[in-house]
Amino acid sequence: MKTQKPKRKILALALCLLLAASCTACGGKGKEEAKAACEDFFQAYTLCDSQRLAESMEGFSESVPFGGLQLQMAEKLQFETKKVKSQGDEMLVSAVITAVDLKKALESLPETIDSTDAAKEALSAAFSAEDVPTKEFEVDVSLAQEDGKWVVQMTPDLADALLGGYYSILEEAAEEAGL
Amino acid sequence: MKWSKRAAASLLAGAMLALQAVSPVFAEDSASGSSQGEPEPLVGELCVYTQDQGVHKVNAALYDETMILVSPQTAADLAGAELVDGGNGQFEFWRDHYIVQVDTNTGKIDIGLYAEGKLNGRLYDNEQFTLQEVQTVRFGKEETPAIPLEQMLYLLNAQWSCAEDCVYIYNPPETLWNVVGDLWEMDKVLPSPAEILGDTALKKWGNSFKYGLLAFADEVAPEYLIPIVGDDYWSRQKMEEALLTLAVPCENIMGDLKEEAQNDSSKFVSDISGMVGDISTLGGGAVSVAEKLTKSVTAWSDVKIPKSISDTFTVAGYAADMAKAIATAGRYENWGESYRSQLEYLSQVKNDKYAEYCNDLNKAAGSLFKEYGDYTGNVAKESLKTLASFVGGYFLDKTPAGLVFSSYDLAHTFVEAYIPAAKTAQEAGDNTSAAMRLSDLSVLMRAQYASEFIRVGEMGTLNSIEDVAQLRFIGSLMMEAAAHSHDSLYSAWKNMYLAGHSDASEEEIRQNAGETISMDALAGKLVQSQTGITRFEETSQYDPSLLLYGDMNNLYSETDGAHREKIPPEYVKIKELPVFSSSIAEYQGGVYVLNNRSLPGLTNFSLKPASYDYICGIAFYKDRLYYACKTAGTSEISCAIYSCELDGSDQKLLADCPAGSKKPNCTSFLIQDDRLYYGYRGERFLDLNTGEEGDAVSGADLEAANRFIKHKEASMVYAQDGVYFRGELDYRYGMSGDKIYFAEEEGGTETVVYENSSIRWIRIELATPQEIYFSATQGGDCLLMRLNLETGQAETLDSHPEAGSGGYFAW
Repeated sequence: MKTQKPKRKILALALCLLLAASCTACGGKGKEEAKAACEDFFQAYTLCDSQRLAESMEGFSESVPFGGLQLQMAEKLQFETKKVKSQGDEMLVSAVITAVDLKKALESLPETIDSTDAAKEALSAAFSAEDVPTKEFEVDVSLAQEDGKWVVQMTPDLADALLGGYYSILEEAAEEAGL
Repeated sequence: MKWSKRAAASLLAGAMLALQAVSPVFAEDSASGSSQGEPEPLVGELCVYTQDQGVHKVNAALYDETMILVSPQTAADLAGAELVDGGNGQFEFWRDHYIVQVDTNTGKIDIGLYAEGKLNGRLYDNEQFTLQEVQTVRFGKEETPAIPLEQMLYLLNAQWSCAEDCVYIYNPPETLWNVVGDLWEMDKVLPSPAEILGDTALKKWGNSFKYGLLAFADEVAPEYLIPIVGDDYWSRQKMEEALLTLAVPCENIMGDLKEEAQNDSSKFVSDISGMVGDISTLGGGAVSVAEKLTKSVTAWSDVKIPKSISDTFTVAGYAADMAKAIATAGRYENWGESYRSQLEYLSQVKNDKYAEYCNDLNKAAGSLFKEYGDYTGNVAKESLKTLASFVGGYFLDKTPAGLVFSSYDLAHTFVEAYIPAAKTAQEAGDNTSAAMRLSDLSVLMRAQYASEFIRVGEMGTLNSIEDVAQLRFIGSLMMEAAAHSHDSLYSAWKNMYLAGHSDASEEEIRQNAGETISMDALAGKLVQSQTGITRFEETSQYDPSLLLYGDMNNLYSETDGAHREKIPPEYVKIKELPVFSSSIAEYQGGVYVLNNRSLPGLTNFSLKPASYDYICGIAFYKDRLYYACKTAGTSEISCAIYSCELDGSDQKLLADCPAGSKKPNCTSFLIQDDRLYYGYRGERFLDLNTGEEGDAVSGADLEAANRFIKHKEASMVYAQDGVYFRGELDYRYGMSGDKIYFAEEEGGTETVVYENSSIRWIRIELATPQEIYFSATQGGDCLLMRLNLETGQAETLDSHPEAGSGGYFAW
């Protein structure tokens, strides 16, 4: 009997290790899938592929394409995904997004601009310039399960990064206004 | 004498025996004849009432005695839809973004929502919709697939009621699906944080920065909107103040912008009272239709009619006014409840993307719900007193949209009594703060609305109106948040301008008070948001009509908002063709010929006439046999017309012309609209129902007599799709009767459907949808021929040498 105790312990340990390994494997597979889905989303975004975007984003299965200045900004976007960690039912993919620096672009608009139309034209020209100022954003991209696949959730941080800091500007203005 | 009586008796017995001997043969033939072929759709007209065209008739066909079929265009017109003919039997019925797609080849039906030129969601995915029936029918000049009327009205959310041979159809201005389909349009009126904060941006960063920010904001797609929330400036009190403004109607909508708002909402508000008033004037059974319609279209699920209201309008006696009062009272009663529901929802709403924002929102809304969630009946009673004091002049003579906004006015009074803080919040100086917070709320609600739409779409089947209630609630709250955000901003700019220009007129404020955008532009967004609210409210009463199932188990319904009555088949008045006596006649698919020869596809008809020697012409009309009989020979003949049952019994003498009597000739006749026409030129008539007799000298009788003459002179016969005729004979002009013509109507353009120069004196005996039977002369022979209308080929069925005059069926 004495000799069997250590065997049981070894067996129990082996079982635990096996369980842990399989969990890691499962978790690992999920993380890989989530990371792939995240990259799919970024690629679709930079290519302005509205169909692919709709499939990789939480929400409608058909997407209304975006255009104009948002599209121009998207074309210049670059991204790099890094670590993935799970958070409950969701996955967080840490990413570095390099986008057009909207604040600098707005600051560099000539003082003669006195209408929204004129501003639109000038911004469009600024965005298409080779040396358009850019900014790096570090974002934890949140993904959730929808119909058995990982889809990206549009969180405030992600939206801000994709739009070159648009929401940061608005928050700053809101604070300035004492709202 | 005794011998004569005995002889006469035995003759009569013999005659009766002869009749009995032949009748069973005919009866059997008619029985076998009736089982031949599919039922043909019977073409006719249906009387309908629609709001835009009033009482009018549409082409319809009755199939298999029960199903009413119409062309796709007629179905679309009656359902208030636009028809898109995709070709190859495919049709689409558009009611704004709501589309019903029908494939008449496969019978498959699909329903979906379209926006921005694309399918945005299939509806009722778990249900299989199939056309109950498709037939090809010729309505006048047009040959078309014909589809079931009731099924199409059902799928297009119509309601209808029947009275006195007329179908009264009501189409809602729109349903929830139409409103939901406008999601991307509604996106355009969501608040813009850049517009709210633009002035601050101007002060901090300058003019060009401001305009650049506005330009960029314009082009951010709705999926990328977020609430602007930050720990630095959030305060619960400001959030609560913003939420309190939702309790009362928008201040500027009820003020300067009221007329604009009414006009913008008007096309979405049902003018049921107008329609009811219109129908009531038609009198008779239409009055009951008006009553049913009033109940169905104005009733709301929770409506309570205050007694003071019903008393007032019972005295006035107008159904239309009662309809207005009911509609307004219903809205009014629900207003307080509706706000409580909004607070409750906001105290619990969760969205993982905006978790932080939701937490803050939950706390603020929860606090308000706790404070104002105690709905008391006493407050309601106080408010009803106020409402009662408004009756009479307040409701009468208002447009439907005017009534909507009158009810908002009343609700204002009610809620102020109930939540005094709401009024305070609206007058608070910090409108820009409210505008910003409500803008954030509209972003959250937009995200919730999109999710809820997906959830409802994925349901596949709607089991009850509760399944769409949440979608409406959330969409409506989205529009409320948007409207109140715009309203707060409008007030902020207006007050700021007034602070510096205290005497400024309304016009001056409108022209100059705008900041990041003009007051006109802001007013436009506010008014459109308000219209969104109205649209959500108005469509709730039609939710029962959204419960559609493939097996249509609820097709006939008395549910308010989905009132649908079975249309009696007899409402389709079949287009009756003139029936001429002839040697060949058709009855229930069987073709009968007056001779003793055995011919392919034809059945011998032999019946001993009730008097004289033999039958010279027959016709079937409304399940009775009509025949002309005569004595032998061609001169000094006696003739008569009888009708009898199909088995030969119940012989009735209709007209008699003994030789030398100078009475109208009875060797041929025409029956039309229950009247028998006879005489050489159809100059005499007998009404088969009333027995009235007279000369065919005017109106429909004269028309019938002229047809009789055309039939004799030009061998003209009538079919569902037009007329066939040989034309008049005149050898001087080479008109020897060797052609058969067709025209879609009398006097219309003629085309030759058959010609054969080797024959002459064509006499058309019978035209069916597939064939024409005719006799003709060829050389010294008389022919009986049959023309296949599809192939254009004719075959000779029989021939014999010419004997005397009169052709194949010579006397």
